[in-house]
Amino acid sequence: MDFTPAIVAFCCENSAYRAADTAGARQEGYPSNISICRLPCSGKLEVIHILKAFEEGADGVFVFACHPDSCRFLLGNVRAGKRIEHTAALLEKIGIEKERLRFFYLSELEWTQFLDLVRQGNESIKSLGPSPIKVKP
Amino acid sequence: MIVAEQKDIAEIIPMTEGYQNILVIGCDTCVTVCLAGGAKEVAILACSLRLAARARGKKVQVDEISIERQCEKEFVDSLQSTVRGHDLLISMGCGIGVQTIAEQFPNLAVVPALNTKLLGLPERQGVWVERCQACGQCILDKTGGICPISRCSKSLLNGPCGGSQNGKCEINKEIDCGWHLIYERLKSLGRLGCLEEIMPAKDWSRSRNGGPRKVIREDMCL
Amino acid sequence: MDSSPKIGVFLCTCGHMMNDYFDTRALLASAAKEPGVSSVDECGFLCTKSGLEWLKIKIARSGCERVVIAGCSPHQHELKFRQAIEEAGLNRSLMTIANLREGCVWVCRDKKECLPKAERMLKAAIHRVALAKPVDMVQARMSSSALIIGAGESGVRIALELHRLGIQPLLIDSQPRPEGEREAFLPTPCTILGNGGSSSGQDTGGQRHDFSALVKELSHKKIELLTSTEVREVAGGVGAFRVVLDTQGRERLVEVGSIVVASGSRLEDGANLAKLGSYSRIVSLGRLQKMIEAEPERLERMMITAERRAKHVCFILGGDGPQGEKSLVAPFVKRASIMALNQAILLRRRFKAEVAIVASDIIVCGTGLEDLYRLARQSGVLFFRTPESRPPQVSLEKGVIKVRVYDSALADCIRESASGEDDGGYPILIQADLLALEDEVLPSLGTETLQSILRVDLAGISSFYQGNIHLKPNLSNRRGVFVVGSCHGVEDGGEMLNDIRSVAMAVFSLLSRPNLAVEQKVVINTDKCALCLTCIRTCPHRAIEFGEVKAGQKWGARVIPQACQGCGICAGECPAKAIEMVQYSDDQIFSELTL
Repeated sequence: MDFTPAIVAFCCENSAYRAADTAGARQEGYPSNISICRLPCSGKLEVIHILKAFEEGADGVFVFACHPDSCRFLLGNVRAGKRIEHTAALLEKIGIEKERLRFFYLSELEWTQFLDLVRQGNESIKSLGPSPIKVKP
Repeated sequence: MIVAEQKDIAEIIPMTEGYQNILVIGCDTCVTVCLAGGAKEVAILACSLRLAARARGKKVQVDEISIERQCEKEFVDSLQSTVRGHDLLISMGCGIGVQTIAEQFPNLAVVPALNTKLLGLPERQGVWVERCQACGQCILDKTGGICPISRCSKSLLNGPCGGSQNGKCEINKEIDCGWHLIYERLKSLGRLGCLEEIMPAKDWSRSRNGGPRKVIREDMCL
Repeated sequence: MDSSPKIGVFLCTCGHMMNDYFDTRALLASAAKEPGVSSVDECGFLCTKSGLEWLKIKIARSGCERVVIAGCSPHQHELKFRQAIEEAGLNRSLMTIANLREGCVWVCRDKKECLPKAERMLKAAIHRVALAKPVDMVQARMSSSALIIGAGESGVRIALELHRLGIQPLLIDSQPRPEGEREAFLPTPCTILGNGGSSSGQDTGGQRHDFSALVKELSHKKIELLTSTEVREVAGGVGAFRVVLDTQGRERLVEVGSIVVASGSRLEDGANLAKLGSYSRIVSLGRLQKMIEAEPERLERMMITAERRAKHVCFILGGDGPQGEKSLVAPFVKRASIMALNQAILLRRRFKAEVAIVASDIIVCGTGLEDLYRLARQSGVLFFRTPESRPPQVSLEKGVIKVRVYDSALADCIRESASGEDDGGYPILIQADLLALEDEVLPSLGTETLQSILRVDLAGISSFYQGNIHLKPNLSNRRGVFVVGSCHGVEDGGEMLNDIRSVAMAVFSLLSRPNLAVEQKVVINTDKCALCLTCIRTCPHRAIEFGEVKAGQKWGARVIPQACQGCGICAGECPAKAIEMVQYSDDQIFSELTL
């Protein structure tokens, strides 16, 4: 069965969003099922945004933050990292595999890594199959 | 401030078993300040419950609301129209809030989403510490403003026990010895003499030992 | 009232490039079906002057109240488009960009995927813009004065520089009088070469004979200097900091537009020195520098030991230096290298001493430093390079300092000709009359307290915030608070002057206008606010404070718009959902998640 997962990628506009732009501009191509959601900082991302993404039918959620010690707002990435950890534990208890939520550090220049991460991420979500939220009626 | 913490979602999910229309109620006062049950946490819990139900192949309606103070009948009463159609109320208030809601809506199931922990203050962002046990008979005037009931592990009234070492409590090296703090404080105030006064045995009947308590202020009663 | 604002959708085909990927008419037709969309249109080059004019006319004609621009990434022309819609009479935040170029057509491998993805993205943008709220512009009053903390060399110099630019400086120092000594900065190479008689240059560092002249200039220019004064409290934000100063118990409130920290640094003996330093012939680089400048006779006497006529001096840098790993940090290696090279040359020239420099690393990048190194070699200074794993061994034997060295380059040839005597793996023996070791550069005493009062962060090797790739080295995490001089790193005279000029320009560009128009990016709903202080504690830029929202009313949290940098961390943390980022409200983020 060929399954195209729906994936939301939350990207910090200071790093990953720019990396995604560059990746696009290089026309290397990455899975078109990945929707990018721009954030001013990964520290803005709340637990509820991730849960809502799953509720709206996402099969996977990726969060991209700046590397440690290079958050333009000093600690947004660290806060995001902790929040993701908390959310992953919550998802697991809710009944959604925590592997569906992935957290990456990425800088503005690492567009090739961005491509690798979204391609690999897409494959791993594919192998997990559709989100349990969607499968059952 | 009353400090509470959220129950594990794995404990809350079974409480909702068999209910179709759930209302999650937050409280805008103490539990918002201690980051346990404000509007933000209400939204997260409601969404989590919807997802959990769907992951188990069920469909439930989970609504959310947050009110000023769950410990006032008037505020809880304002929920009359909102609760209509719901069969389970989840309170994200402290234990008082859960009970006020239960009293006001006798025909509805009410369950708690929080564990009420202590009366205290935030030591720093995300860390809360105990400062009062509501013993009903304050002696802070005699102890330099540091409460031996809540800060001494044994709630001793006359000096530290033999387990006080280097200013720390014997039950845990992370806990300051309450009596050590009292001594240092009185010393810096130049009032060590306070310690010479032997405190008589405390009347614990004015604390929890005397059964449920009540405060009546006659001049304020209507 | 705002239930269905009219939305105009404008597609820029990027020079008709997009037509190659999908049917633009089909895309616009599907967009036109979305609720609220009143007009759809396409254009070849929206980012050109004529394209922007076209946009303005279209907005005016169609009477739309919100705008979606579908085209390239917002990082390309977002500001330009926001300006255009503002000129067309709309609030600048009532616009969303659908990134169809970098985010869709250039991404999809299969052209067939383009149209559905573009439709999805455009739909999300339409839903998002429907929820957009206007952003208020606030006129922030900018006071054209600056408080400079620390009257060391960098503090005095920046006060003069700011005065020249028309900013009114107020200089304070915790000590009873200004001291140039407080800055542990480096002699500039040109100074040294100048001393050697070969070239002359602007004398900026190393020599402090002109410091008193600088201080005199302060009083000529009528720049206020408060000595024995400390900062007690700092409230407000950039443009209007309210600072409580304490001069020996007398408090004074000043309002300044900016704060410049020039608190300087101090020198301390490193671990190695602490171990060996009790021996009078083992000194720190800082001490040696002073002796060369001020006490040459004493130095001469120290170098002459009874048994031997030649004067031998050895320097040990890096590796086994003061604080193990710390001595490997570039600014400190550079400082030690320059100090040692400078002193080695002077010791050769003035004292005719034999000099050896034992180092694991030497940094000579910077104007004139290569020359300095060459000069040292030419004047006969010996260099030994030791691997970090085998630092030199120092021992005191009958009043003689013995330094045993393993040099990675010489190791093999020495091994071959070794006499067979056991040297423990350190074949080179240097007998020194004087040994110079690195000292540590530490922030001035009281820096920690100052940081907690200013609420700026400690970071890494330096005492103030530095090193984040997104931040320039002179900025702190609090907008309007700058750091200059040796309190944020070791620098030489030229570097310090550059440092001062760049901070002065930054202060000037911030405070040169009496009013600054800033967006109110974050709005706090005080009715919902529980005053839990979470936002105040978590705001990385200290842009939120609490107090009476209006005089005589209940307390609440409020944003200082000119200090806010729009990260949204406060909105992400608020437990009462009382804080909203105007351009990233929850509803707007949710609207993008519809897949």
